[in-house]
Amino acid sequence: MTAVLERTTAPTAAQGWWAKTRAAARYEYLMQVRRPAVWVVVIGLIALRCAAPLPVNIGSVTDHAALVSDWAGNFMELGPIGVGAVLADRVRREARLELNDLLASTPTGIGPRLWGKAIGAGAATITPFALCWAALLGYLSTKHGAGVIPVGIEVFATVFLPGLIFVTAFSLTVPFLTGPVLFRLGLFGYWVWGNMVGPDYGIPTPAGTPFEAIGEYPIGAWFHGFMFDARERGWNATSADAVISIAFLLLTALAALATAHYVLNRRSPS
Amino acid sequence: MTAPNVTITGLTVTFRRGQVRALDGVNLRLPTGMVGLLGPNGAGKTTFMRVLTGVLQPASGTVSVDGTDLTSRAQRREVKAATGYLPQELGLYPDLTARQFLDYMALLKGITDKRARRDRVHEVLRLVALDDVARRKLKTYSGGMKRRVGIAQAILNDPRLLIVDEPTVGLDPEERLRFRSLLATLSGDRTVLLSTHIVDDIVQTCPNVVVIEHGGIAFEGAIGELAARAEGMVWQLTQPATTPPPDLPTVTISPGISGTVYRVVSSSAPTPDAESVSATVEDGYIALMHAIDSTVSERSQRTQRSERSERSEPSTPDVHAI
Repeated sequence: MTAVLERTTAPTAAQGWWAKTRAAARYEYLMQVRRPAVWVVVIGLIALRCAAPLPVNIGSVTDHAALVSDWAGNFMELGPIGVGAVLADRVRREARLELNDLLASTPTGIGPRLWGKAIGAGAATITPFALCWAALLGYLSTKHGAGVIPVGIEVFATVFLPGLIFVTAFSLTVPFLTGPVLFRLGLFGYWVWGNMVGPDYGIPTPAGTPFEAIGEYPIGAWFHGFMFDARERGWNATSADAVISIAFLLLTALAALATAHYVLNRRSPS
Repeated sequence: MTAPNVTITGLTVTFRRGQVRALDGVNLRLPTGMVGLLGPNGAGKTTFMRVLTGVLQPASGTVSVDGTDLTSRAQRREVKAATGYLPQELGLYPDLTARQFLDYMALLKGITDKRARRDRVHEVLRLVALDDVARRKLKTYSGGMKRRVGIAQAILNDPRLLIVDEPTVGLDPEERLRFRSLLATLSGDRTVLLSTHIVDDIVQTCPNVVVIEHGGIAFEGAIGELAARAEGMVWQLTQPATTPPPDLPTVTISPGISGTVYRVVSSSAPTPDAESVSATVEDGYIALMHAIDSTVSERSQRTQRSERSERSEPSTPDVHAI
């Protein structure tokens, strides 16, 4: 047999959970970032909203933090819907491609593949979002100076990432139950109701509370940006509120993925 | 490396909450080397292979590979690390290149050392003659090339047990021959279980054969023994306008010089002018399937007769006594 294959150290089942997760993340990233739909949908929705940005006086804002965070609010209104929409069909992709048996026959369980998909496909879908943001920061820096760039990076980390991680986690778990089409409809409904339909409409909603996903609280607390729904509620954002908002989004995302991991692991024989 | 000792005991797999028994109490000790797995559609071949690879859990029974039962998750993973599988429905990631796909599969199979993985991927690509197109995306590959990627991923971990399910379906004759030789080369000191409908593939490569039918083992043994089952039972009808009786299993119908030639399996001469010919493995397989069908049909008729007679019997008064 050595004439056919040179033997290396025999692989074992237990080794390399992180290496396998990293590998899954790397290849999921590659596969997702190459999809034209990812670029068209995410950039399209951001462009749609930013064509007529809010607040209406955004052009006259000169304070770097307020300017950048106001633009962030515009990115977050529709952008995450695009991110969720193009991630939703990743969940059942292996079944559609008839890869399930092949993957299940490897000694790697469901965990590295699920977490790798969340990290890789999520990062790939956020890539056009990040590039749009970088392009805007480049443009703003030519008009208002390079000081907008560090603020823009902070905004990206505190306003965008928690909300996008939240959307990514649910887009890679809920479609197991609903399928991608129903999930996309649900995501659109949730995003509008839960983040944009403020208390003035008279229906119960997390919009304007620290439990919304659009990032108003970090914007208000740390960057002095415009708060729409929270202002309607008469709430002023504090640092504690912003931390609670971010923690809520990240912990909910973690819980969604951990639950999916637990359920899939129980169902899978591998 | 030595071929593994694979023992299957009382293996039962059910679907639809026990209503369908895909495998029913299978007992088998898998011979080493290349083993052919034959059986008609729906006989349970793919289910059997999915259990062996740990993809499917049986309702009852055990599968043991070198003494490791596939009962717990940890044990299944240990066995999977030494197993290679090419499923019947082979899916690949269309947007990855062959090299990327194999690199990913190698990692999932536990080859985490970067250098070892790169060398192994290069080696298997060369073995399946795809090294010159390894940078092309898989969606540009032909069916035969995809099958070769499939076998390449199956041998990445240098498995002691290699399970291939219908690998030559849809391949052109040249590609089929190439694939067959590749499998024969790989068998060496490992066990290769080859499932196929194409008897010729098994005749050319497998010294041993297992036939599955109705979820049970219908035959296990040397390939010659399967052919021997039909010895003295194979007839050729060459006379013009001579057609075999419709209830006899016909192995082949081919055009001859003086008309259509029928090759049939029958315990006695089907027509006075029938010529006895020596049996092949295909004849043995057809004879076996016919014998099983006859037994099943007889059993079913007997059951129906007994149910009818039970219904027609007058009910005894004490049964309904109040």
